[in-house]
Amino acid sequence: MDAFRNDLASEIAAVAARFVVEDGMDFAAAKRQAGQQMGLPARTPWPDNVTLEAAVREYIAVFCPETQALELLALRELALLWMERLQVFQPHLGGAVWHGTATRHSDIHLHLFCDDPKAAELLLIDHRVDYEPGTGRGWRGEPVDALTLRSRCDALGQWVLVHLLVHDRDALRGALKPDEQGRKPRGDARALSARLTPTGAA
Amino acid sequence: MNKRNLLTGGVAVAACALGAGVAWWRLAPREVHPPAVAAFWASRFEGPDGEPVVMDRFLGQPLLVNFWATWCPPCVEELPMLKAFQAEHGGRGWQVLGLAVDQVGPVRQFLQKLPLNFPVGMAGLAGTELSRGLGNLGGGLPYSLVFDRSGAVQHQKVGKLSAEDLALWAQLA
Repeated sequence: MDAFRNDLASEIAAVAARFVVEDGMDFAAAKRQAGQQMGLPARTPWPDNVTLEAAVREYIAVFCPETQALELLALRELALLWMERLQVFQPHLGGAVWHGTATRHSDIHLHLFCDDPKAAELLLIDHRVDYEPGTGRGWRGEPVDALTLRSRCDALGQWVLVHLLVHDRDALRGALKPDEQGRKPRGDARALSARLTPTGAA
Repeated sequence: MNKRNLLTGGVAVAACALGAGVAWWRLAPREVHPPAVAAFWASRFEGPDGEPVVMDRFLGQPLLVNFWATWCPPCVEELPMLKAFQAEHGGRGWQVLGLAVDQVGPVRQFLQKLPLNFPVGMAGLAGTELSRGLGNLGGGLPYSLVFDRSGAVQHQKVGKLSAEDLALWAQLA
């Protein structure tokens, strides 16, 4: 049973990885799409996100290592630009751009930490930046303000969505707790710069 | 006949006065604190490459100061107009000065793509406070203001400049 379970889960993950890389789907949507394509019932041993991320890395390594590396670099540089602009809010980068699995379809996820929850929004308004307010999730699943803006990425020749998740200043410690794989789940501008230098590990 | 002429003339004069009054009211400097202006003229900034930008260097010439940021779309849109203004009126003594309410990295990167023909000083985050003292109560960007040769604020505008604003300002000196 376990062998069957693992085989099926990794098969779904392999199919889903293609949707993540080629179509920019998020993990949940990619798993559903993979299940649909494989004609699986709803009660299926779905792969967890660790398994899917490993499959995504494998897919990239096999099918598009060079283009993905360039796209990732462009997104990381754009993320760093926004982190410099929003420096006062101690921005931390998370998600695929931080972990290195991003492609041109990926959005940039920045976590901001403010004493005044409206400060980040006011800064956008002062700069006449168009943004869309929404809701995201904090570390414990609590709702947090999400501000989404569009930024031109010349290197990719396209627009990129930048999501700013606005947390309390106190939430910063939770932002740095290692994830289930023991990795740093987010990094600040300095950590990102280190990944941008050729010697830095991706 | 004479009476009618007089009347028409009177109306015209009144209309002119009203128009000028409205223009004056619309453009008159507001909420500028003299100590803030004095402090502004005594201040110095660093340019994006670390070069000094000393304000008193600009005293004695008409000066257009523009507060901007690389990530403020209307600011970026009006920069070419300011470039043209500098190119057209620089010969008559006009000087444009950009003050970036931004970080050094993004500004440096931006200026590589769009080089400017006037100096830029890094006002940083303190730039918002500075602009407030100079009459930009809301702290929004872009914010532009014109100083005369004596260093007094003549006109100011919050928000994106129009070609008419600049044409009007060019007539001031």
